[in-house]
Amino acid sequence: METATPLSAASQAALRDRDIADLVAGGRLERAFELLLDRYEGKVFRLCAGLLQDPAAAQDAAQESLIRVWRALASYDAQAAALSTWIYAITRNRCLTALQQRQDRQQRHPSLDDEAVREQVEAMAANDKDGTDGAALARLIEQLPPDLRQVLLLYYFEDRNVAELAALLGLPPATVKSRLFRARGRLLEALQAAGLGAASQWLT
Amino acid sequence: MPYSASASPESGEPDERLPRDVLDQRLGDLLAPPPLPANFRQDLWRAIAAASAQELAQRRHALELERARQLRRLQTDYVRMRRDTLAMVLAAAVTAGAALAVALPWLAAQLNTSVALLTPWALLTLALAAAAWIWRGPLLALAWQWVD
Repeated sequence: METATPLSAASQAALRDRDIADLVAGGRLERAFELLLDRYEGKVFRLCAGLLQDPAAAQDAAQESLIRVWRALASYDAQAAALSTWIYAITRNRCLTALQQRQDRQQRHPSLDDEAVREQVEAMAANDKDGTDGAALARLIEQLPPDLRQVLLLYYFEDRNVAELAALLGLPPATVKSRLFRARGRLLEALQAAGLGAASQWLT
Repeated sequence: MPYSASASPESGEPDERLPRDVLDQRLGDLLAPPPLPANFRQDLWRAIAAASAQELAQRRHALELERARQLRRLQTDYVRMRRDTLAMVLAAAVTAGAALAVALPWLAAQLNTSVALLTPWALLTLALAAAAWIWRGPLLALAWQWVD
């Protein structure tokens, strides 16, 4: 008996978005863009939030990314790339530009960096339900290297879906998993170093 | 530290996750996905409309600049053409005058007539030659039409 070969996440997404590609090909751009927003505005915003870790900057970047998508929608080629891949690439590029601009700003005004981290930690700690170690854990997450922190944040933003996270970041799933494990490892070490419990306490 | 593997209903691929332990639970609570800002879509459409209007204004401005540049170039070319034409006419007149001043006495001597009688005929010949040169295109076309 033949077994059907499972489609990759990108192929699945391309199949799902065929209706949008058809609308674009038919020149119905507004309808296509509305459908696209229904499917992707949340993901685009969360990707920006994960990469930039600043809600206001994430909102701006998501808006600018989607404006770019709208402008380029008429020239979108479904044969060249899946819609999701195309949208995420535009979004990542916009976020990279924003990160670069932020880095330039911080080099000129180093105090802004501390303020942004403090705000981020407070925002994260506010999510903590029992509040016992929330602020400390948030601070330790902020101390992770940016690539590990981004992957960790997006993993939870995307409901622990590694395949979706890989698509969002344009990385192979194996790289994403490796970063996730490294992020967890670093966090565990930092938790123990901060006297917030042994590894066995966190890994049960 | 093994992954827990379960089938993702959407992709059909094994969806590997981090271990579901206390740390994962705490991180899940802490790292809640940020909600989409209120009125995000309305703001987006507004920004698109504003960006389109701005883009349109920029394009219009660029077109106006281009039109002004082309008008300036046309004007410059026109002035240059008039100046060149005038120079050419003057040069031709001076050359023709000089040539006639030399040629007419010699021609009058050869034809045994006076310069005063020869001058109008020489000018007429020159004028007809100039006209034929200027109108050579239409005249040749007319000639070909007549031959056919």
